[in-house]
Amino acid sequence: MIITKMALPRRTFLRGLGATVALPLLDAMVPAASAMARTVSIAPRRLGIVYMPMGVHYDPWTPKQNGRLTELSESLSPLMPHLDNVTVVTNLEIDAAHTTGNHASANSSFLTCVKPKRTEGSDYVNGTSVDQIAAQQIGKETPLPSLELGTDLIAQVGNCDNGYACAYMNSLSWASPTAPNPTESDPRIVFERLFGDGGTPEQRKAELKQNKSILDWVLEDMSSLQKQLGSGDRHRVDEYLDTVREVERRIQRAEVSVSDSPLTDLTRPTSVPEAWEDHVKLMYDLQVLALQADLTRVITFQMAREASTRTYPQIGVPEPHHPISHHVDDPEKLAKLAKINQYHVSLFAYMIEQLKKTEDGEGSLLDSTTYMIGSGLGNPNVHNHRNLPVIVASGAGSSIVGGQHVKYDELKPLANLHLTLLDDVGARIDQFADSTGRAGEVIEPLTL
Amino acid sequence: MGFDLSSSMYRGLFVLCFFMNAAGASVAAQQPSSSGEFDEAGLVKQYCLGCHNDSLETGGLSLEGVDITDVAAHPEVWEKVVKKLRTGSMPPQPRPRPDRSTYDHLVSYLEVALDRHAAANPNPGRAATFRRLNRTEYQNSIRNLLSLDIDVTELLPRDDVSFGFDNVGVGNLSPTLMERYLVTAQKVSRLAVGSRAPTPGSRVVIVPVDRTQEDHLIGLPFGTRGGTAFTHTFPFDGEYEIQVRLQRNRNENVEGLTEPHEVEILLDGARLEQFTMLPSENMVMQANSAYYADAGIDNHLNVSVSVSAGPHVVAATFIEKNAALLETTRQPYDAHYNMDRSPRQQPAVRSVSIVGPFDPSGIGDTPSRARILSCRPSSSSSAEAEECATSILAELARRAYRRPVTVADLDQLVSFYRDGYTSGGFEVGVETALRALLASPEFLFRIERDPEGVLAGAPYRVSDLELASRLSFFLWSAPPDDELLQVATAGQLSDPSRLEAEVRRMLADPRSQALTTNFASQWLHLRNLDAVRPDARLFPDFDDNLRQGFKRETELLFQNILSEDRSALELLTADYTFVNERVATHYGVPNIYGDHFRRIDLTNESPRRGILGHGSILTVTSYATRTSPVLRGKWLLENLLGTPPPPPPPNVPALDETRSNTRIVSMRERMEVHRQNPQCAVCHRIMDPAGLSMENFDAIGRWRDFEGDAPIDAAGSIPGGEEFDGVSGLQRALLDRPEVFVGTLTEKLLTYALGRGVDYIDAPTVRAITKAAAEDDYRLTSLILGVVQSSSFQMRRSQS
Repeated sequence: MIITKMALPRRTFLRGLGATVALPLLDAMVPAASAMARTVSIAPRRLGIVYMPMGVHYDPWTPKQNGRLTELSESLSPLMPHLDNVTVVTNLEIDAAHTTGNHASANSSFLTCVKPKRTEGSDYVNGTSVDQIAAQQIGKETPLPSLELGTDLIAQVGNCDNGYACAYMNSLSWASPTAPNPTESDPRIVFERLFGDGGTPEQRKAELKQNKSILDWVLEDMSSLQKQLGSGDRHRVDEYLDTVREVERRIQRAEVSVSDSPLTDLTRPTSVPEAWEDHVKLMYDLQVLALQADLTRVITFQMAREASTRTYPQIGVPEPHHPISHHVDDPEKLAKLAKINQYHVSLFAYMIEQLKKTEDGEGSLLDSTTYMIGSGLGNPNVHNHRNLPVIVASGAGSSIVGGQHVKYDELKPLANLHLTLLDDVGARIDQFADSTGRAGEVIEPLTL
Repeated sequence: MGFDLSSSMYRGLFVLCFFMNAAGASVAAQQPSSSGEFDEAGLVKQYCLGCHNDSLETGGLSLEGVDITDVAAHPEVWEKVVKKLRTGSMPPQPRPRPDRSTYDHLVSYLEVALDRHAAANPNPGRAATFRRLNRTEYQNSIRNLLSLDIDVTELLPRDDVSFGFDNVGVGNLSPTLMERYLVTAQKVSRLAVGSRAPTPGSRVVIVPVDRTQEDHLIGLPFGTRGGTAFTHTFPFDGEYEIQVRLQRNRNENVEGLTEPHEVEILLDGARLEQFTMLPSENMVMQANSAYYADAGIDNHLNVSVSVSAGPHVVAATFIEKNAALLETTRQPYDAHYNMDRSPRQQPAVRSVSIVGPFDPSGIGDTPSRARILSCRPSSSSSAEAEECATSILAELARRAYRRPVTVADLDQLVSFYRDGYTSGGFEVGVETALRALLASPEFLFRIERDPEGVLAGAPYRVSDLELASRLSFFLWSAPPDDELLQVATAGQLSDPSRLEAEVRRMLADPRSQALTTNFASQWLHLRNLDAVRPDARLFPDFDDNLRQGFKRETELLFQNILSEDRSALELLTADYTFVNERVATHYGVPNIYGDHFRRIDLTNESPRRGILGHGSILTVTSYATRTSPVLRGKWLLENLLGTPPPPPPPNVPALDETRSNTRIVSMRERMEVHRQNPQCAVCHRIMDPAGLSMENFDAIGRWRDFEGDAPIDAAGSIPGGEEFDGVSGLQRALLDRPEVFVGTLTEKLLTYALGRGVDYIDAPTVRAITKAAAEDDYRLTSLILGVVQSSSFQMRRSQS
């Protein structure tokens, strides 16, 4: 094997069933990013959102304590080492998600809080998701305004949920009401998106320049096409033109950050790890990398899909997740559902661990990053969207106070929390979907 | 996807409806006279209005204000009615229903009126103006354009599925997708032309972990077992390193390595090198378990070899040690092993990676270079080079844009060529222009334009070139070939006999296999097989070999019906199927040896006649741990009967949360709960009986007569039909109304061909095609021809 500038210490992400990944670029990228000379002395704020499907079994999930937490409930126990960084919120709801295709709307409305249009066709209408609103503000300075990740590689064929197009189930992040962002689940492709092909900085720059001139031509071509069309079709082309301009912008930003950029790599992630847990952790590792290298500041991660029939034999649940979530109060099913919930939480805890361990300027990456994990479905047995399970993890740089359980007396819109998150990362807006205010309680200091 | 019970509620409405119909049930069914006047309005009043009136609006439908003597006023309503009457699913059992001849009359009355209305008011519908090539079409376009095979799943994100197909919701273009197209254009143009030595890259091919590798696999030499073989396009002449890795278990030890084994790596069928794989001697005790520290033990399965640019077959496999039985247990697993219970007896290949080129030395003639570089400049004159490049680009653009090329098209491409020529010469120039071409919207999108001066909302004939694209993407999932383009450019494609000739030519072409691998695999949900993971404890006999075998079996049946011009009904009745050893073992068919597929005849009693008995369908409609009559019923209703389960109405109150459940034994008993609760019964009384009739097949398609101790009760029914027993009864029930099955297939074909969801405006077209096909034994090719000849396929409605 030819070894290039790999005298740098390797960072092995994962060993297990042959999915070894070594990313020497990590060390090379960090100086490059800080060499960008951030003019602000405060570290940039970052936002991450993780989706877990099909709600939870409430009993072992909801902490018994309200306010300041000194212990965590059973399903949340993997988060104990990070108690001071987590805020558990109870009694949030998405009213608009109550549709006949609850799985589709749980997913699609989680970050948009609007009722999706019921259609199987491509005329879907949702809303602009909160991560994209954040990206429009804080994503302007990074090569990638946002990153959308998932773990499901194989698309199901057929109607996805009672008359709702599969786009609703597939996409958490929506750039506009009619534009779902596709998720990427192959770590190799994610890696390539983040670090490209490699090559010398000159080669990288030449590539970017080439792409830019192609896009100039595409813009021209589309504009002249547009003139020949009727009004409805012209509108469609406007969307395409916006897309192309957005890609041009990304190229411009990438050109800036490429100046001190890395090297050829010969060991990208080989492909998708066999074990789901390994796959999830690898995706988390890539998120940490992307944040640390400041390639993006907004990430959404669909850890599993709504209505997923995945089985979890590794934790003693060989039955598919979706039927289990229709537990009809059967104690055996409830216990299994709780196990799945806890498992998902443990993987989230892994992510927080990685954020804490990663240096970022004077502190850790967690200081400047806020991560939320939650589900768009509340009680999975009856498919409602009330009392959604939501946890926010934050660090020193956040205005969110950790180590607390915020339990509202009556149901509040999830959109309120979204507004708070947007504030927290510096992308303040006044109103979002059905918001009635901010989730002030997660940020105001509590009296003990 | 699971079906949401809790949201399908009628509650009070439904209960009320029960009462109202109970009252009406006492009235004897009116006996119509055999000829003379039928009182259609009276029939509606007697049989329908009890539920479908303005105050109840059952199922969201009221027929109260809708005049049956003026069918043309509300075709959208009457098409719905026709659908229900055709399948006999309304009035629902056990409501009073008229006799069969009354049904037939009413259906015929309505259809005649609807067809007449449609003929007078043609509406071919309007698929999107911009339709992006989906992944499959992109891959096929590259093959057509550049004679290059690429793996598009590594390059482009998957497409969303709408109305059951992934070529429908393709009007979108997100920035991420555009970026992927740019990256892909760069990679493809580089691989196709190879104008410059690339930096070393890598590709890793991974063998699914649940593939059994104890026997000979097709594509590998006799005398070997297991392993994998695949085609890889080497980008440049040079040195490449091929590394083989073996499967490891949860302790990260190589599986099955208890004796020495011989591994060989092959290139184009010739052995490059043979290696001895010895078991590890490094046992380490830790806590209570022993494991072998064998981290790099397969590092030596590595060869450096000089390879020329272009496609080559790379393979890694084991020399077969012996032909004796592997196990001495009384009932060895069909799969010989599974991860959970029974570890591998012999090692298996996990992955083959190819890294290179190192010391790149040049590039000769690859299939793609031969295709693209139709001329080469003989001197160093830049003018000659540009002339040659221009002719190359003109040809490429014509095929890529699927139309004759204009001067303006060419100018821009030539300017890209010039940029590349300046930096690196002729071939760099061609590659640069090709890269731009592959990112052009005229390549990536199929565009259908309303002609100048057409009235708003009026139907018009699509141009011959647009028709050519529709035709080739329908039959081949690929762009038109040179012959079709020529016919279209000459304006001859709209001539009906010429069109038919082209259709027949294209169906005879091997590219029509796309109808099997793209259309049928989506229609029948065969694609979902890749995601299926039956529980290893409950189904230790399942492996990837079986998964792939299932898919192949059903594909081969569809392919056979297509290429031998047979009736579509044979999909249900075929007295033959296709198996290899693995599938035959699973089905209990004796004396079938080898990994290749061959046709076998089936007896009358065989449960494998038709797709209802194929392992593929049976597995894809089950969960990992058990069968699901609900999924099966839904699949049948959606894909064969064209009547997907009704969506739940809005504003239905939530299910009572504190309701508890007792443990139930058989699947049938468990499904009873659906029917006991009126809120669930509404949909489940339609879905469950259909699926329950298939209970003799377990979750991986094996025949069973018992579920635990209880004998299987396979009584079932489909909407509008009598009760029957088992899959053979289901088959007969479907064949009793062949026009329903064929009509559904036609709907699916039409959706796929038009790239839009079909609705009531297309129902007359579907009827016409089905009726015409009935005269021709319901041949599959008749349906296809019918779709192509329909006005929906040849015309389009302009923007309103």
